[in-house]
This record gives sequence, C-alpha cells and structure tokens, in this order.
Amino acid sequence: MTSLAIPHPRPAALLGVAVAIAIGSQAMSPLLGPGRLSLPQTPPVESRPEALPAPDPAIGAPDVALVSIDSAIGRWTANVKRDPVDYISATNLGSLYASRARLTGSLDDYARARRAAEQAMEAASSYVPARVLDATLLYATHDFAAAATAARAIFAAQPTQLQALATLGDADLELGDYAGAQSAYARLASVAPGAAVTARLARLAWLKGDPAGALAMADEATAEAETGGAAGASLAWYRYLAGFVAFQAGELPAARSRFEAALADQPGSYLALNGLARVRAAEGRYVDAITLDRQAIAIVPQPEFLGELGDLYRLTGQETLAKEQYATVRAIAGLAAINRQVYNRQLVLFDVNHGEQLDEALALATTELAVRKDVYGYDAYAWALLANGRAAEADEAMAHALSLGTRDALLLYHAGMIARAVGDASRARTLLTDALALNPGFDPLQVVRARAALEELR
Amino acid sequence: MKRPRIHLKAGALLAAAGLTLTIGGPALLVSGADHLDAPNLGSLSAGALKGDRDINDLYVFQGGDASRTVLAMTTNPAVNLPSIDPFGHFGSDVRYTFNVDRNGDAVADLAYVVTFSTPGSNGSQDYTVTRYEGSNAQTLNQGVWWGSGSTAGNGIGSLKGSGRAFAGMRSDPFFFDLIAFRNTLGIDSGTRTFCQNPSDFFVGLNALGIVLEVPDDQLGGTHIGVWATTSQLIGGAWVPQDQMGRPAINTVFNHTAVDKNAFNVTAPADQRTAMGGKFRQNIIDTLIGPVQFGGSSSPTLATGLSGLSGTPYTADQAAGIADLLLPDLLTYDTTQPAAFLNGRALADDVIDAELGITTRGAVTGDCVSAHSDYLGSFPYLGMPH
Repeated sequence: MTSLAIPHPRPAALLGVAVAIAIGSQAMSPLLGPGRLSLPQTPPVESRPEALPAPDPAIGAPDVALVSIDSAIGRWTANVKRDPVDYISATNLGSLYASRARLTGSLDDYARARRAAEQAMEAASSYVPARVLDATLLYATHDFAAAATAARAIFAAQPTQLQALATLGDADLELGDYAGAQSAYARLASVAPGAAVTARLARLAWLKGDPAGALAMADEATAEAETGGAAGASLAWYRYLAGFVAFQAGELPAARSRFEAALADQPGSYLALNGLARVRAAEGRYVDAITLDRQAIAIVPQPEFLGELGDLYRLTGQETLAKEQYATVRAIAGLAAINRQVYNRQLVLFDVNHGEQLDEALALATTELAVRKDVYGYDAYAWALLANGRAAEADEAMAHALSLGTRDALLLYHAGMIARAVGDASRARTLLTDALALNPGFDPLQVVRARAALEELR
Repeated sequence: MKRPRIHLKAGALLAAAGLTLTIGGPALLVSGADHLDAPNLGSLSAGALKGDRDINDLYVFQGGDASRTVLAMTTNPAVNLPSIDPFGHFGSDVRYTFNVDRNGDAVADLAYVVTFSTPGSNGSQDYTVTRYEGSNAQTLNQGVWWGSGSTAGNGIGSLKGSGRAFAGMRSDPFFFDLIAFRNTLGIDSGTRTFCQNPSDFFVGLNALGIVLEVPDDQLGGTHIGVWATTSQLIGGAWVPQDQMGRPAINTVFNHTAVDKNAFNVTAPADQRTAMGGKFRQNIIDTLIGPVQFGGSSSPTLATGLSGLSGTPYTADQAAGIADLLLPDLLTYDTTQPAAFLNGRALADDVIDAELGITTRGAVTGDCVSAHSDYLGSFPYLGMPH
C-alpha cells in the first residue's frame, strides 16, 4: 500500500532537562501521513491475551529499553497509588507510558499515558509539565486540532516551554498549516538547534519537494543525535527517518543501509522492519519482503503493514493468506474509534485500493479533510472521490495534494490515475511516468496498476 | 510527630523556590536535597538528558566501626526515567569527587575522584578511585591510584589501606514529602499539604550510588568538611557541573536558575563573597524576607520563612545563620559518635531539621520518616527497587 508521509520527528530533548516529555515521552508518533501508529495488542483474529508483545525470536533479544521502562513504570505507579494527588509521579508515569508506546506501537499505552497526564492535571492544574505531556499525547493519538490548541496556550503563557512550541509546529504540520510549522521550527532552530529540530526541518523539506536536502538533513540529524548520546530506539528513529526519505526517492541501497543500521540499534524497530520489507519488495524480492513484514506485524499489526503483506501474498499467488490480512485490517477498523482516528488514512487508502466500502471510505476521507487540510488529507480524499466516480472533484482535490511539490511517487500515481479519469491523457502519462521513474517500487501492487495504465495510455 | 503549624494569610499560599525543574522541565527529575537543582544540566541535542552529572545527596557518617568513615554520594535522578538511558549509567566523561577540607579553610586538602568506563554490552562499568593530596586536591593534577572495581556483581571494590569502594544502582535513601512541600509553598496548585496523608516521594525510587569507606587516619584530620562535586570533560577541560555540601542549600536559598547554576560551580571558599555576596544575601532574604520563591510574578514573603513563626529572626541572627551555612560543607568530627548534625547519616531527617530552622519552628516536619531498607553494613545504601 501506500507511501506515507515521513516519520514524525520526536519531540525529544529540545530542552536540556526536559526529559520526561522530550525524550521520555517521545510522544510524537514516529510516522505520519496516512498515519503509522499503533494498534491494540489484541488483534481479534488471534485473541492474543493483553500482554507485552512477544518478541519474535527471529528478530533478536527483547528490547532492554522496554524492560527498563516497565521497571520504572512500576516505581512511579506505586507512588501514584500511595498518593493519588502526586502530580509529579503521575506525569512521569505518563511520560514513561508514552515512551513505551513508541516501542510497542500500542494505543493502549498511549491511553494509559493520557490517563496519567489527566490525573496529574486534576491534582495540580497549573503544573506545566503535565500539560505539555498532554499536548504531545493529543498529537501522538492524532487529535491534532486539540494538540495545537493546547500547545499554543502553553507556549503563549510560557515561552520557555520549547516542547510546547515543537508540538505546536508538529500539529500545525499535520493540520496543513505549513507556514505555521515552518515558523515554529525556525524559532526552535534558533534557540535549541540539534537533532530533534533538524529532523523536523528534514521532514518539512521533504514535504516541500526537496528530497535531496531532506536526506542530507536527516543524515545530519542522525549524526547530531549520535554525538548527543542517543542510542538504541532513539537513534534508530533518526536512521529510520533517513531511510524513509531515501526510499521515497527510489534510492534503494541508501534506504536499505539506513534501515539495517536502525535495526542494528533497535532490533525490535517495527518501522525499520517494514521499511526494509518495502525495499525488498521494490527489489522484487517478495519472499524476503513477506518475512520482514510478518516480523513487523508481530510487533505492531498496523493496517498499512497488513495491507502490504496481503498485497505481497496476492502478488505471489497466496490468495487465502492475502484475504486473511485484508480481513484483519477490516477487523481493526471495527474495533475501536481510536483506531479509526489514528489509522483513518491508512484505512481509506486500503478500502479504495481493494475496492471495498467505497462510500464509507469517502465519508471518512471527507471528515478527515474537514479537520486536516494537509497534502495527504487531500490525497486520501481525492483517491476516494475517484473510486466513487467523481473524477472532476478528485482532480481538484489532487491539485491541492500536489501544491507543495512533494516528491512522493504515490501522490504522483494518484494524480496520474485521476488525470486519466478526467480524460487528460497527456498529463496522465507525464505523472505516471514521473511516479515510476521516481520510485519504481513505491508499492508492489499499485505499481502494477500504474504500469498497466501507462501501457493503455500509449 | 506533631502537626506543623503554618501561619498562612487567608487564601495566600507561600510560593517557594524552584525545587525543580529545569527550564521547560518535564515532570520529574525532582528530588531530594539537591536533586536536579541545576537548571542547565543536559544538552539540547536529541536524546540527552545528562542526569549523570547531577548529584542528589551527600552523606558522611561513621563506618563499620568508630575508626572508619563513610563518604557516600547519590547521583543521576534520571535513572528513574530510563527512556533515554536504559541502564542508568555513570558518565564516562565525568569526575565524581569527594572533596575534604582538613584545616577549616574550606579548601580541599584531600580528594577522592571516582571515574567510570563506558558501559559494556551488559551495562556494567569499571570504576577507578584516585586519591589527591595537598594542592593536588584542588587542581586534581597528580593523583595516586587508590583502587578499582566494577558495577557488575555486588559493585564492591577494594581501596588501598583497607578501604572499600562501591558503585552502582541503589535504592534512593532520601525521604521527603515533596508534593506536600510544593503544595504548602504554593509552587503548584495542588492541595495536599504537610502531614495530610503524608507520602514519601522517594521511598520507591532508585539512584546511582558511590560509597567509599576509609580508615579515619587516611583522612588526615579529625574535623573535616566534605563536599561533593561533579565535572565533565568538555573540549579537553574538566568543567564543573554540580556541587553539594549540606542538604537543600541551593534548592531552598537560591531562587533563580542563574543563581543556582552559579552556586553549583562556586568553590566553597568563595561562596560567602562571590557575586558581591549574593548567595549570603539570598540566605538572609529567604530567612527574614522579602523573598519570592517562584520568580518575579510569584507572591512575596515579606518576612521570609522564619516570619511564618510570627517572630522572624533578627537581621543579625539571619546573618549568623548565613555564615554558618556558607561555606557549604558537610562538617564531620571523626572522634564523635555518629549524631545528627555531625556529618549526615542516611537516616538523619535533614528535612525536618531544615524546616524547623528556616521557619523558626513554624513547620517542624513533613511527617515522613527514614526508609527501612538501609543496610547495616557496607555499602549501607539499600538494594535497588
């Protein structure tokens, strides 16, 4: 399936000591766009008991960071239990659950983090770290409008709260206010330069159609992070960002080496596993891609991963297994509202790509766009409109999606298919050719469709 | 313990000084007597909360028998927020130093410096203890290798002359109702105050600990003053980072980030006169007012903390206390039995003592007592949680 927007930068240590929020919380979701985030621990198909994700032995040793985080969670939980109005311990607990969520991809961990933050705010409404944590958690669970509002209020009252400024910029980005994001990031760069800010600038550069600049910045951010002492999951995140940017530019070896380096730092990085799967799929190595996606799914069964795996099964003639993955995606969508909030774009694209529930997909894309007018919001909306036979409107929406000049083969492919539908063959050919030239393996199933469409257009 | 009397004007709460947090601080990392009183610790780049340079507490007390003395420091409160550093390591570019003044001039005549290797794959670190005497104790130029060990296993190593060393993760020995303190002083808007359902914030937390036990004759003096310092190797030079003598001096008496940071790097011998006598004046202002604990927009305590008693100290009394508290050293008489205010033992309730002194008896305690997990033998700090 899909190409996604680049990973969200982590709020990470923008503040010297702002640990709990910054790194600790790492409340920014690692990815964005059609929303890579987490999933509940119990996919209905297997009815696995609620527990820590069982590490796949193929991947390596259990994440020591997780063990250490859980131990600390125990200590702060005891504090809060002993003193329910201990707003400091509650905030720390929340930030640790947020850290946990980054490792596990679990929405349940984010839910626990939010409950802890709320408990802190109830005990001491003026305690700023709790409010900053809450804003970042709203962001992490994709309530971007609320996150922006909360972060803006904190920063306006306390201009030393750089984390709030970062969250504000990040939320603005997701809402499509690129100017707002740019200005927040520029301010951060001037007062707290470093890896966390460089990564954000990399993301913005990529969205604005400068993939070479974005990759250079992502690599720079990685180096800054490493020099600053980041290791394990923290460092892996930066490597993943760089790998993602490289992949989007069709630079497979560059992407592969960065994803592999990420896995060396964090063997349980589901993002890097999926990234590597996409590289293998783009290289035509479907069997390897399947193995890697299965490993990623074993950690976090995201709709996007499941859709990709299903497509790979389909392409290799394993239709029954393909259908199982697709069914799981549908089941996840039905599980909880939070899943739809976090994964809505992934779900829209999935439904459209597999010809399912097209009017529901359009309805979801429409509500999404009402709140988030970013390029991927327009993209999902346009793609759903096309699937519902409204090509002219799709074309108009797609123009918005391309307005930043983002060099994303998926956007170009969608635009090409829409141009074809409105009868503009020449523009369709240009766009589809561009998509396939930029990243010929952007999506195993969609490239087949793209090539077929291009053939027909000749 | 009797309930503390706190004189409050109707509706007014006392603001109190930054017992914490750092700029934009995230939650915790607050703590005990000196935990995180240094607002600028930590790098601004990704992933780097460097609490490994942060000193929580310093203890000096009688060792296994009356002829031995224990020097102990706890560090790295961030060990309880492991997202950044899963193992909770000592800094491998940090000097952890016990400074000892032997002749009452607040200048180090003896120093024990503990340094650590980078962590191995299992997280353990080798450590080395180096001893410096005379002028070398101030410059840390020429030292004598004194012993070594590893944080692996029981963390215990031996020192020359029948001394012992320990380094590793332990149960944080500090005890304090931090939340009640902050609420009572109006730092945040919570409502639970001292002795209302008292709760010890630190009872379940960990810290990194460094413990040395040495024969008294190695200290070279019976009346010593001890303070702990950390410094970090930056650009080829050892840069002072944190410092601590008596508990909570910086946290209670210096109210701005600028003052706190400056105090952390001002040698004890200079503390009375540095910055035009600012630290000394800060103590006096805190005791008898006027003082603001939470910045220029926070309430002013017109007669200071001692004014809470209804009878603030006189200016002379406040000045006298200031001159006792500065230079900030933990004084210890090796010939006297372990006793409160002779050094600092793990179970000494320094908070109650300081609350009593600063408020002139208005607040006598936080209703929280010593932990029950201290060990009767080396390394004395309890097992980690």
